[in-house]
Amino acid sequence: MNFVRGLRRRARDPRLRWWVGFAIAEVLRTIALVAATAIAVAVLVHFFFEEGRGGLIAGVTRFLESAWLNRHGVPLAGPFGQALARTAPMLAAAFAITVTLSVAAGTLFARVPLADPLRFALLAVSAIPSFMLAYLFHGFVYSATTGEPHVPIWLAAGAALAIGDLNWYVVAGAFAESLARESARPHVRLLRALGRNVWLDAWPRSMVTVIEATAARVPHLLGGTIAIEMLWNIDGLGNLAWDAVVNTPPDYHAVLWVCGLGIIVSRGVQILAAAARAMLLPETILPSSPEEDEPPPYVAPSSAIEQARLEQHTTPTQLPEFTTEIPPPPGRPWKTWPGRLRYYLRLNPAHAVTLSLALCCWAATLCGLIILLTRMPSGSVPTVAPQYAPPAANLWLGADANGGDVVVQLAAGLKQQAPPLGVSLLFSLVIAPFAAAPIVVRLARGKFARLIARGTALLADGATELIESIPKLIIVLACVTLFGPPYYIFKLYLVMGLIHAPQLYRAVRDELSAVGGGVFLEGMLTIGVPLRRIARENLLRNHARHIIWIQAVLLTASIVQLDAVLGFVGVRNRGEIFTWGSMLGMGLHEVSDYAGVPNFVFNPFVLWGPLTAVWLVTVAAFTAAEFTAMLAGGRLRRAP
Amino acid sequence: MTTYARLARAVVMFVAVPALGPTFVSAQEADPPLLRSERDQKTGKPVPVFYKYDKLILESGKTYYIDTRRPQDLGRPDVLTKFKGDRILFHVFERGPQNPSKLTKFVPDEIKRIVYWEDMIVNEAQRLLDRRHIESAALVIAKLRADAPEWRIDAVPKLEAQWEVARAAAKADKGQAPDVREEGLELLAALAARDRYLPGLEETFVSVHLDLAEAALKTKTYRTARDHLDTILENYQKNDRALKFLARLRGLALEHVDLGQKLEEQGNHPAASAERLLAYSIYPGDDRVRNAYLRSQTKYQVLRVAAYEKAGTFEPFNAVLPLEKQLVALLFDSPIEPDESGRAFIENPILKRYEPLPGGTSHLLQMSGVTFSDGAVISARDVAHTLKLLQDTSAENYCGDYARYVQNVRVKDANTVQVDTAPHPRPETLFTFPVVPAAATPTLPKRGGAFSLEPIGSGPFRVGKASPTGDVRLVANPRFREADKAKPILGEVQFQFVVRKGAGQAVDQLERDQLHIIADPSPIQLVRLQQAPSRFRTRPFLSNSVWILAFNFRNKLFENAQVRRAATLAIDREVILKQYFGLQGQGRFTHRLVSGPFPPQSNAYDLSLPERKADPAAAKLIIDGLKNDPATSSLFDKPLRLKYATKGDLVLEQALVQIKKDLEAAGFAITLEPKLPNDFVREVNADHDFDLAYCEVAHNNVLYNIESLFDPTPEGLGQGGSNYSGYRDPSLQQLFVALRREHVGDKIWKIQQQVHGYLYTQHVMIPLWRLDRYVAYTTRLKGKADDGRMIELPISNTTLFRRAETWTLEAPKL
Repeated sequence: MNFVRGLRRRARDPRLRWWVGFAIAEVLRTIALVAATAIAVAVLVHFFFEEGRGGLIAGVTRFLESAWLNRHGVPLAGPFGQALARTAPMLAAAFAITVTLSVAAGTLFARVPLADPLRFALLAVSAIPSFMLAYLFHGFVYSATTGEPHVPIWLAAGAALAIGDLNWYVVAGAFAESLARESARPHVRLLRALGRNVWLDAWPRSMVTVIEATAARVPHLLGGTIAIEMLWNIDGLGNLAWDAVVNTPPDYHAVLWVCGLGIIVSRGVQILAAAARAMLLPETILPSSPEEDEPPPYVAPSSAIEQARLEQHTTPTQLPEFTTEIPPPPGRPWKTWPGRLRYYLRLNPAHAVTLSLALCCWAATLCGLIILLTRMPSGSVPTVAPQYAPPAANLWLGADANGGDVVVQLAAGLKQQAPPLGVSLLFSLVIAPFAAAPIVVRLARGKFARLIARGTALLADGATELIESIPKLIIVLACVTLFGPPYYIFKLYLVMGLIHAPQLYRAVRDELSAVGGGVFLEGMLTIGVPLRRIARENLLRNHARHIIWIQAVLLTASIVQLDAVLGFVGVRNRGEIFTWGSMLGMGLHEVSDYAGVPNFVFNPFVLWGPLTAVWLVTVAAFTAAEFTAMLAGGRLRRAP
Repeated sequence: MTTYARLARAVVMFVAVPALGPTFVSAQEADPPLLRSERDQKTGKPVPVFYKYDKLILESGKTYYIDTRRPQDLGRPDVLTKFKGDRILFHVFERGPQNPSKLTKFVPDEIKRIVYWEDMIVNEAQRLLDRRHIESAALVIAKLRADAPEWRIDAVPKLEAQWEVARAAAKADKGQAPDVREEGLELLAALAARDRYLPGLEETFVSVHLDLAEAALKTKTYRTARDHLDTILENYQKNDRALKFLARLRGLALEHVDLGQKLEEQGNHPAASAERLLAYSIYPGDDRVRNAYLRSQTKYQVLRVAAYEKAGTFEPFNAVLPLEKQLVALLFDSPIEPDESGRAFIENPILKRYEPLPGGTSHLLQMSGVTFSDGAVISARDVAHTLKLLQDTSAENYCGDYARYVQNVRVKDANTVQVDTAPHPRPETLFTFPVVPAAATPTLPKRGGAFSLEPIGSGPFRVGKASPTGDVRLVANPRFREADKAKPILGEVQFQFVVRKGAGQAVDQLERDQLHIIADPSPIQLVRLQQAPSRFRTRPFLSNSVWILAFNFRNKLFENAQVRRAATLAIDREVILKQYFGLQGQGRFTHRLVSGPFPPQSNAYDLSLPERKADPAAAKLIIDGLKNDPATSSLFDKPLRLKYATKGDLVLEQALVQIKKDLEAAGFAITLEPKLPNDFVREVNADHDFDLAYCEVAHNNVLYNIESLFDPTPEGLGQGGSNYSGYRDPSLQQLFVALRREHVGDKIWKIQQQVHGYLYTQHVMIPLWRLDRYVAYTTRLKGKADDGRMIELPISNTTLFRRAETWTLEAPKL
């Protein structure tokens, strides 16, 4: 009886109930996502590739019934397991390295103000596409004489994935920001004022952010494996997915399995992050109770020494210098920006170095853009030199396989990809307002409006989760098979914008959710400020604008890099499409095949030209976003 | 009496006889009661004669023994003759200490039975021998010979022989010292040599040697065990025990062979060799064991071949991927195969005789008794069954020739099959199919099925367990027809997966000796390999396909022959072929331009039709004229979509860009649309959604029939139809009808050349080029002739894995 009573008592424990509910909900959610993906793939295959033969229900049932077999009629589990065994260590290494490097870099940036210029260096390294890093690592990884790897391939590939594609920079930035935020909490400040070590309190809470940020990068990591596996001849999951899409007959079951794995891995990491959050931040489990709001009972100091120490620290202490000055208040940019810049420079002497580096980068980018604008061809790229002609006075970066000037090709690329990229960004920006739905839920008056808002929020969350969980390259490849001229690039970039939109959506939602519960919003509504104005000024201008800007830049970089992966794996159109990503991927393909062959004239700038362009624009855009955020006041307010 | 004789007597009387009791004489119970008698020299009457120790059993049941203790007997130790009148008087003693000796007299009629001491002594000798009391037995036998040499003429020699056998067996006992045992074995051998049928010798001989063999088996000295067994079988070939032991050894050896096979399939070659060696030491007499041993004697060779795709089936009926077709050549044998030139045909050893019967439409195939890898003999039924399966249209690799030409298959006997065909210009080609066992394929194998994944064939290799990296592994077929000659020489062929075809990865691995054969390197990689002839060989395979630029006649622009002519003249194919596929003349390439849809090496190709030279100016003139013509100018409004299939082939992309440029220079507006292979098949071959398409016309039949490409029926022209270009013309159809009706070789080629001429003059397509395939392999890879000489790899112009059983990898040169 006692045991039963004990169980009942435990069952009433709100913490236990929360954990049980959490586990059930997450498992059901994962199953629902996998099921939704399976049905979506089955329906798409039925309509697009089987021309709807035999009816929808029969087609979908047939597809799902045989989903355990590959195109050869052999159970998929075997080949899939083998591929997974090769790719899983890469992904695990990438995950571990990302977390480790990000924590190290983030801690450095959060704790050592003078290390701020190193952010720039980190960005410079992390802005290189992961497959390019793998190419650059090649000489270190493989022995030149025997061809045997010096270090485990999975480790090298994991390092490339972790560092490149902006993964390191993004996660390190998230950690640094989270650490700063945690350090700025009142109780942490109090503890610091008391001379206590706050590291053990702030650090674990910040780690939650790292895990969450890494979880968001999982689809990027999965997509990045395709290119690295192709480069290093690894027969892993990336190749399985690629082979399933490309070779005849297409193996949609394998595609489904890879998508399912993507969902499970993404969900797994997200569940890990949620569990960590629940463990480290108990308020996520237990709502604040009246008891918690009461002050803790006074405990007399145990000794005279402790008493003296307490007295010493309860007296006001000299706060750091940078917090004494109040940053300029919001206003028109031309009025507020100079003041904020001055304030930014006074905050930390190292900021001057960072700004100088950024200015150099922007200057180089601007020069490059001007050159490209002057060399922009009116029509197709003409043949001006022999195949792979080396650089010359009138051929700054040499010629490509068809004798076209590489600089002119870059200019053509700018011309070709700028409009679709813009459209793609705009498209993803359209998605962003949906991120405000949770706030609208809280603020909306009337049941119907609240119902609509809640439904929108749920739908948006579900779609976001689904799109974010599936490896992005798989979605793009699936779309590539359907697309053709005209407006091929537009369509492709639009899809890329769509699959990256959840990233923007989530960032904006996270930012606004922190504001949504603020008392001041309630207060503003109470004093009669219209909801529209609150949304425009308080939410969009003051909170979402810089986030959108940063995410838009990140999005641009991600799209270009995805384009590069496509170019590298062979989804390209030589002579027709000159997007920088495509040129970069194609250039790597050419370099890895042609460079170093005796008696063969080859121009390596077919690779280095597009790489420099992609890299420079990524770094310049990212630093611009950072500084814009600073000028908008975002970074300044967050300083601990 | 010698001391020994006395001793023997004492033994007999005081030890052996009392101990044995009544059973002692049982051996003589069948004898009639009789008295030995001699005629008294004086009276002439018969006198009963007794010998000492005889036993008398009276009618009353009383048993008497002659008392040897009587002093009067000692004087006449040998013969005791006592009689008085018709009564017999002699001293008797009754057994037992309580019975005093007394003189007994009785008439002879009272005697029921007499057991003579000779019998007793024989039995005693026998008993002593059985108990291995060799010395005692020797004394007894010696006494018997001394005292009664004439008694039962064969008894003493028999006993002596038995004694000799027993003595040898005792000496050869496994518990004896080695020298004694050796002496015993020699004695046994001598006895067997003298007369192997000596009583008890076989049993003793076999027991002794089997005991020793068993002991040797326990200590794993198999050679000794085998020697003992051999010794037995030399003398007694039909001995059951020896034969059972032999079977046991064979079973044990085969267990080790199987274990070796498993280890080999797992890639543990040293352990596999050790197991095979062990099996051979246990029992070298079995073919399988010997073949396995021969294999282990040669260095285990692993041939690594680059594979750019993953095989889904290993059987011939559904093999459609190049890799799958290559694997079939290694796993199966066909009755007839092409020779090295690829033009003539030779009989495969699975065939004893191939005989075309008069009339040319019946063919007799007699099988030679070669076995499949499961040990079953290839029979006529297997051939007939394979032909039946080849006619199944649901097979992925279905070839219409079998349904069209093979009319009747008759199994005449277990080894002979008669195939009746329709008239065929090269009937031998109908017998180049791989033979599969009928028992294992009751129905057409399916992808993913058991036979598909682990087929049973008669080729030099069979499918092994996939490598840890998932690569396909073929291991030597232990029942290959030339396994007794340690063939195939290669222990294993591994198809190592390379992610990107034509890229530097495979070449790098070839240069590092991690791969031995790569296929289809890119031109630059091929040149790179050709620059090192001492290390690498490159061989072209004349492609049986040609590449064309297909017009889609559903686009009205191409209904105009002038447009087609202009497009043909616009493309400088010679320059493109040389510049891109021929790498600016840097390498040795055999690609060549074509003027029609047939490969130049085929009889269907009309060599009198020259490849058209490019004439951009003329092309531009034509197009400009058409553009200026109001009737046709609107047709040029939309750009033409040129689709091609690619997975990132750099050379192909460059060539297509140049084609586009050439066409644009002539006045066409072109949009290049590279497609993933899947999409290309769907859009071009199925949906017919293109304007121009870079297509391959592959010829899988010997007649080079391309009728299906111009199928004018609604099915052919509609969705999924084979006539993707949409061209139809009655005069062309007439040629195809004539072709279908014609069965005489020369006339067939004549019609095909007319087809070629028609397509040439009407510009139905733009014939581009024949792109030959290349393989590159290390110079270490050689063929081994029957006389042991190393020769060049015996591959043909059409088949890579030809006579793969003779392939060998030479040791790398330091």
